Amino acid sequence: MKATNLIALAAAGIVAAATGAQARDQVAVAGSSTVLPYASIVAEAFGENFDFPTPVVESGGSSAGLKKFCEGVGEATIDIANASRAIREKEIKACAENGVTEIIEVRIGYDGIVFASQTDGPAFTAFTPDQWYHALAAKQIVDGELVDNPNMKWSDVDPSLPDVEIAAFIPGTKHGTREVFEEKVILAGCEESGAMAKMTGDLGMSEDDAEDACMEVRADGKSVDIDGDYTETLSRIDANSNGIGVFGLAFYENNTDKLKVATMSGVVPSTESISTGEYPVSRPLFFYVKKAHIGVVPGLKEFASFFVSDAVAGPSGPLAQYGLVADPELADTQAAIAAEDVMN
Amino acid sequence: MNLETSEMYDHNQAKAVVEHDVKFQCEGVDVYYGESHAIKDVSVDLLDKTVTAFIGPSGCGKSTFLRCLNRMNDTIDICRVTGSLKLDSEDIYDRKVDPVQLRARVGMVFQKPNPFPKSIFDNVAYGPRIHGLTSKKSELEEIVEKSLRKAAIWNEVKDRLHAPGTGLSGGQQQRLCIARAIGPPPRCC
Amino acid sequence: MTDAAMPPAAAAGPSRKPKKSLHVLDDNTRRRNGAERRFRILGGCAVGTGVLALVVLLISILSAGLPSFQQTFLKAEIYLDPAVLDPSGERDPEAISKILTFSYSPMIKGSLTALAEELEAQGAENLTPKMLADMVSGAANAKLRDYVIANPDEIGKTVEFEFLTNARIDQYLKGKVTRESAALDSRVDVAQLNAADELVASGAMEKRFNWDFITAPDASENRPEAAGLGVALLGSLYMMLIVLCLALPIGVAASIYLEEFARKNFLTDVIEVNISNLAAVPSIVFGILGLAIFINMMHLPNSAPIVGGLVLTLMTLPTIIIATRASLKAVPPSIRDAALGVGASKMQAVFHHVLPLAAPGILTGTILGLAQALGETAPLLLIGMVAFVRDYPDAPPGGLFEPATGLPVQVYNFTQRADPAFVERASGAIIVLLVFLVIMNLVAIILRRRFERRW
Ligand SMILES: Nc1ncnc2c1ncn2[C@@H]1O[C@H](COP(=O)(O)OP(=O)(O)OP(=O)(O)O)[C@@H](O)[C@H]1O
Ligand SMILES: [Mg+2]
Repeated sequence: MKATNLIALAAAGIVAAATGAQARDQVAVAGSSTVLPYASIVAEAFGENFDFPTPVVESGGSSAGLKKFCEGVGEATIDIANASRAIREKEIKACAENGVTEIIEVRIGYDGIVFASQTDGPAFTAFTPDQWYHALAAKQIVDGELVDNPNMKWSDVDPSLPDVEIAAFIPGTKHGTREVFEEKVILAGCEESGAMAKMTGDLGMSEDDAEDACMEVRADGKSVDIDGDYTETLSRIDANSNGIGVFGLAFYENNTDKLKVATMSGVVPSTESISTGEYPVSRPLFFYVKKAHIGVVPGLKEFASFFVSDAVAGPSGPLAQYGLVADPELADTQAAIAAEDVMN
Repeated sequence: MNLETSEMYDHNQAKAVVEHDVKFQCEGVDVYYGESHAIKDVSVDLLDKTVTAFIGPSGCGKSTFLRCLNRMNDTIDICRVTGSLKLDSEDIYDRKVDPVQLRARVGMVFQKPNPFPKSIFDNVAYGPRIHGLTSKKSELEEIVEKSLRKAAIWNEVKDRLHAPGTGLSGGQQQRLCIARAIGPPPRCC
Repeated sequence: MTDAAMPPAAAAGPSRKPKKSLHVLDDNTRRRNGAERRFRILGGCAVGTGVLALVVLLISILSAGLPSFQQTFLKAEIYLDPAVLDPSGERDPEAISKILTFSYSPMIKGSLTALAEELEAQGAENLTPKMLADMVSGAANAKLRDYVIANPDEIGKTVEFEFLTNARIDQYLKGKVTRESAALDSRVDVAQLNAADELVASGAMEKRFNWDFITAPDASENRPEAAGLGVALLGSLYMMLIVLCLALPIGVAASIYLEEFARKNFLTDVIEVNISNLAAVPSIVFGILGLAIFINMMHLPNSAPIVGGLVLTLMTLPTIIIATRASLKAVPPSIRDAALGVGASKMQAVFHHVLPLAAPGILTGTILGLAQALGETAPLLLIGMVAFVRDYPDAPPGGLFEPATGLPVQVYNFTQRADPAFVERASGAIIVLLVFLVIMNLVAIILRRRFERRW
């Protein structure tokens, strides 16, 4: 029964070892799946160029990442949270409750959100926020009354659009992208088309209620929430030639052979049009650093400064090459990290 | 304590050896399998150095009684034994008695042959080994040969001691089991 | 043969004709034969469907994944420019390591200028040196930098290197990128495809077996061509080790106790029902449990094989216990009687006779449990193992606490990436996973044969 003894010994060893956990020596990052590719590119380069271990990057979404980030201070918690939206008041409060009071906010650049469909599908070439509002909002004003969205085809929304069923694949609510989509496309369309004004005026709704009514997305199957990544959206588009999906610019640029992109308010999405602010649907990307971990976790500050260094996040760096729109105010960010400026 | 039975020789020797000591003294033994009453009030004395046979119709409780003698019935959850069974005037159902120790002294061959799925040699050597009778190989071999000879199977298996015991014929297997039962310091039943 | 089997009429004489000929099938026999025939056909169909599904699955995975074991390499001479690599000229290792990988890109481009011109002359129209340099993987910079740091004396010389090409060129040689798709694709230019053709013809570029796919760590989205399974393999190996070392002894001990020693009462019944229930609990629940207990309460590190191993152990235990109990039950009670009858203690009877007989069943159960654990992703999701990890964990026991991923997690990771080249790598990772499963099952069969031969 030697083998049994050996296994028992090994088991005892593992249990013994499990009780004495050891110090973490690599940076731990988690959060937005939009930021994940950028973070992994930087982590890889960081590991190659410095003597620090390569940081470990987890995805899982902005909210999940920030929640983990706010769990507390100490080795068992992460050092950096990636987010495709700014941290919310509520999250800052939750952080503070758990002792995470000093947070350094780092904006790494901008990400464009594009609308793309099959290359040989219907001619979805130009959109306006107005059209998206009328296609996707749950309620519309018809004859002065708020009713369920009656539009079934894109041509119902606007005769210039293709005569096909509406089939939109938009990011699920756990994605930071969804918020941007709702605010910069649906809400903007609602305001643009005057529906917002009618709601607050004729219908006598409060500002907040009207906003909520504008941004509520229809749930009758015309719009499909994608909780997975853009790869899932892509495969849904692949399977549905009338489908139109919401993608990140970087994802689109990696798949230009399969997808054709539509303009928004007449502007073609590109790193240039986004950095000038011409293309309306874009959002800043962030990561948040736990200041209490600087000096405790080796390489944390170095990683944060490396992330936003000109060689990495600048217009000709690998992040821009992948699809990130470089931040024109990168120098300020670099200085803020050097000074370890925390948010209030 | 050398009742070399379990194989039931069909001749009544009890009267011829009256002067032998009583080895097993059983009085008012009742055995229950759950609700069913398998043995009712059996009292019998088994003599030392004597072959005793139980004869009866099928299902009358012969095996059940034998199993009482080395407390093999303990392994059957629903089985309950009452009455007194004494080995050398010690109650074997006393709380102080460890059935394992008892079984080392009271061997048993079962109704159906049940050799271990090991070699013939290992089958017979198993008892002596676990009871620590010998650690020398030559002595072990001697014990095995003696046991096999006593069970009248030596000639048939001496050339294939390391063949599997399960490969023997039914009768040979049963004789192997007898050899196995008398392998440890030979005991009874 | 007993007398009763003989037809009683046979005594009457050989010449008597039987009432019913055995040469003619009676209705009852015919009906039974028909039923058997139909069952055979049905059975054949069932097996056929299963085999067909398996073949389709295998063909689709193999055709999608096998190319990932091959990679395209480009041989190129690079001038290790001292002006870039060692501006001070002192060959100070400190100073050399200060030069970041990004600085190597212009140097590679410069070294390839001549080659680009040559290729353009040969027919690759509109090929700029930048395009040619872009055909080289981003991993080349790191390779050059490591080489320079290890051999500072080579600075100033021209050295021949072999680099991975970027994924689009590789996919072109594998037939996945075509000129039509390249025309639409912003990441590749038709001129680069022409150049690739020329380079293949001249022998500077070739596609061959790539061990790095199995041994190298994961790579970022910019360089799918460099991504490998090394860390995932190690992580999976560590986790399997932990599962084996914990689940097997605990599971077997628990089953032996429950099956052979414990009294059958209400408590053991409750335990039995619970074990069967645990086996059916969705695996993600074990992940939630692992997160709560091992990470939040015991403060074990995130993303570490130790936590994955413990979670998978919990998940595998019921499987092993159920299999072990079933095989213990299958050992005929007469063997226990035999051992007890010669005076063996219960423990001796179990360990000397029952356990060896049950071993093949236990092994099969254990390996099935391990195989199930090997392919499990959901619980690992919650304990941070679905991550981008590039550093290999150390040898155990220390390495058990360092970040790693696992094979199924790596498959999941690859499928989430934007670059289509990762699709092929996901299938390749599935093939590696399948190979491991096949190996494990083979080991199970071999071990079973071994144990069974000892009757
Ligand atoms: N494990 C058991 N559980 C319940 N009842 C049992 C068990 N073993 C035996 N019995 C019952 O006890 C009675 C006696 O059985 P036993 O085996 O002692 O008969 P036997 O005299 O040895 O018969 P045979 O000559 O056929 O071997 C039978 O009625 C049998 O059904
Ligand atoms: Mg009987």
